[in-house]
Amino acid sequence: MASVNLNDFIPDGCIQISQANSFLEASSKAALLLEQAGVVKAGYEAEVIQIIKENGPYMVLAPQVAIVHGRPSEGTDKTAAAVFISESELISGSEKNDPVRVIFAISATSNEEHIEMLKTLALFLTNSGVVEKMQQCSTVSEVRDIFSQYLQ
Amino acid sequence: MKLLAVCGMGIGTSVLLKMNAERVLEQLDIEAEVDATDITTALRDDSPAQIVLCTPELQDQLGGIRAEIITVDNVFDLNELTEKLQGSLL
Repeated sequence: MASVNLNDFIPDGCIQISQANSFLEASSKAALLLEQAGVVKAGYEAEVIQIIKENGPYMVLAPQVAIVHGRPSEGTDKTAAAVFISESELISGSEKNDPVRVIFAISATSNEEHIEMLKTLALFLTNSGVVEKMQQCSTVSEVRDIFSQYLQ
Repeated sequence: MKLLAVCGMGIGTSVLLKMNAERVLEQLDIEAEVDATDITTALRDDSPAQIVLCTPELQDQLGGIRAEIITVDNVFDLNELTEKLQGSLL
């Protein structure tokens, strides 16, 4: 049986460990990784920011973790995820889950593959301690190593 | 029984909520259908959803919905989901 892990959904260049001055800036950087990899349409990052501004930080759905995305696409986008790990603590306004350190940007497809990606992400994040492990990483390959340790 | 998992667009947070709620409901041996949807559709939906699941920041936008709202702080904490669903359903 083929085993799936998060790396299968994260294109090359779509993991970044860096500084951000705000939750919005970090979300923007995560979304831009997807745009730069060519897996989502141009303008995707602007949609991501608009959704956060319109609806508040409801996508900060676990301590230190946010999962952001744009509007569902009309079939041009590929199923993919990007990760931005912030070197500093970011305040999103989420009462229970601030500060944010890890932001996943996902494309907004609605096919079987999208569900498969979310399932993989859910199973990964349900493991306790993985978010802390991600924050301790200083290189992209360390992050990839963590993802590959958690097979579906 | 029907539950709605709700988020802004119906394709991210709500799908993850649905997945983990289904895991918990199965463990609790409760037969229920969980649908993931966006806020607009949830407010329009006149189907008899008994419970609406969302993260706390969406609660205000769901005012007036005809269902019990359960807010989930940590979508990946199966214990929290178990406690809250048990509290409402059993």
